Amino acid sequence: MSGRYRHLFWRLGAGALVLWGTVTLIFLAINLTPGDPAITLLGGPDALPTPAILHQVRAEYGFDQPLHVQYVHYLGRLLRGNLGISYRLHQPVAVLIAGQIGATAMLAVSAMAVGVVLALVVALATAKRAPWLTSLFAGIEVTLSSVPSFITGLILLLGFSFNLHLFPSSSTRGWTANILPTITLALPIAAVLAQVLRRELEDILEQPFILTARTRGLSEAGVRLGHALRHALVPALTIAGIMFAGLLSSAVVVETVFNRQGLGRMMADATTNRDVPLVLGIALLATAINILVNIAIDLINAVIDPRTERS
Amino acid sequence: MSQTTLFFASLTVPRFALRNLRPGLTLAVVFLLLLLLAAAFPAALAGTDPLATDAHNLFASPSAAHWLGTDEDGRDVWSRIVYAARPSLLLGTSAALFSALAGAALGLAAGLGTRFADNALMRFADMLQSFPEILLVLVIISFWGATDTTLVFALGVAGVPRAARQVRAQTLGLRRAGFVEAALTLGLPLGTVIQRHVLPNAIKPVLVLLPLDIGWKIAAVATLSFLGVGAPPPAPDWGSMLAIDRDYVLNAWWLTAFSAGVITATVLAVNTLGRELIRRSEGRA
Repeated sequence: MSGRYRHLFWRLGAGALVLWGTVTLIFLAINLTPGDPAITLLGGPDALPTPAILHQVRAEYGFDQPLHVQYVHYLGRLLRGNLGISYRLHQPVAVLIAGQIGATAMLAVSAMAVGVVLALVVALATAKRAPWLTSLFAGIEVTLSSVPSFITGLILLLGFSFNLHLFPSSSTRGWTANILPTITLALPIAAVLAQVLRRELEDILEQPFILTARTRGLSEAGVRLGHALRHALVPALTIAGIMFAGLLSSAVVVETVFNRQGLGRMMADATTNRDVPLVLGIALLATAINILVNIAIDLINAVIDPRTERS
Repeated sequence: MSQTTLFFASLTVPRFALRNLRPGLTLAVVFLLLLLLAAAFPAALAGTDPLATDAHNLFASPSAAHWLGTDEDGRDVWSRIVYAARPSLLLGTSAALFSALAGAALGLAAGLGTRFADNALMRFADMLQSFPEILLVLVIISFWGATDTTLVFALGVAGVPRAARQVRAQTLGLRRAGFVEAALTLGLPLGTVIQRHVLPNAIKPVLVLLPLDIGWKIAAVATLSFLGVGAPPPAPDWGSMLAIDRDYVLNAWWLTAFSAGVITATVLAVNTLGRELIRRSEGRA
């Protein structure tokens, strides 16, 4: 087995362990919360579940059996892809997630693409330029990355939908309906990435090999695109990955602001309704995505910069 | 350099200091002082009751009687914004303190404990961190309902892993630091050494980041109540005000503008101050 595959194998194993730990944590939280765990799953004592549903939940989770038996059954069900049943929506959680994941994935991927392109353009254009230009963009970036995304979304909605009537304010259909939510998600990503990229580029543009490239008569664009960018990509990629994994959380807000269908919206509604199985199902999915994205970043980093693999 | 030139050079000092007074930072400090005043003595800034409804005066635009107009129930928007400052600041600050303190305790235990304890605690931090932050908060709220206590706990827990990692990293270095070894050699009890020499140094990076974290947490509180999982409706709260105001944006734009404006200004002001603190702690004043 070559080094790269062995490394991948270990990373996947460690990821599986973290996921297993998370599942265990969830199991403990359900069972050690004071009161009847069946009632916890049904949304707390205020939910007033009917005896029939209570009976169904108890049978499904086997709450009358000893804890370790329940635990093994719980793991077994999860391994078979059974995330439980949403007792509010009367459907299996896996089916509900499958129905909504497409819209959110589309949104996340397009937001990531727009964010990365925007960050690259801004960072390449503004690194080591006139101080006023750099600080102007740095100011915009700090503002965009610290303002909560529901406010960015509302401002875009106010400006472009209500006043200019350019885009519809709420709908999932048609490409114009995707523009504002995509921009809302993309702006903070672009802001954070551009800051990192610019800092890296400014360090790299001071390096001797850049001077060498310039003395060979390479144009400014050639130096920046051909030599500096590749070196700046590794730290930026790591952050981009973290932000991509976090897009599901941002989708909770953005899908609510724009009244869209999707996993995020379903998560927000499930939390308000205290639909615990659905909330846990989406959270577990997010955890798995998070772990996989982190492994993927490691692999891509190893391709861009082979030195990272050896360490 | 002659004596006279030195004398004139010293005269230019005040002008130099004035130039150092950055407008953004000043604005942030002034805004935060106002906010603290609103949180401490809301009645001093707003004369009207934030809950008093007036059926004859719905959606009044800004005027002398109602500085920022009235909302869908005829309540005074200015006093609602002022009265909402206290819960926002309290929730954000206590959640950030929770993260810092619990994270410091965990990180200290991991850094000072046995290798097994260190591994166990850090893998626990890994698990907490594998949940994207807002989702962890939503999970906890769905379990225990949205009370102030659960909000602080949920937001606090979400920040624990990062603080724990920072404190642990510092502690590992401090364990071998000369002054710690010296204190132990001099015969100081272990507890005293930890309390006097390790903890104050280990917690520094967490304290430096505390203002930024408070800003993030105030934004998160507003986000949660915007999503409908924060403070229950009649209470004045920036996030839930905004959630309701957006439905009336076509006939009363100022409602949305003011509640969105105060959240944005708060977050930006706290961040500006937080960044300044980081810059100073790094010696780049």
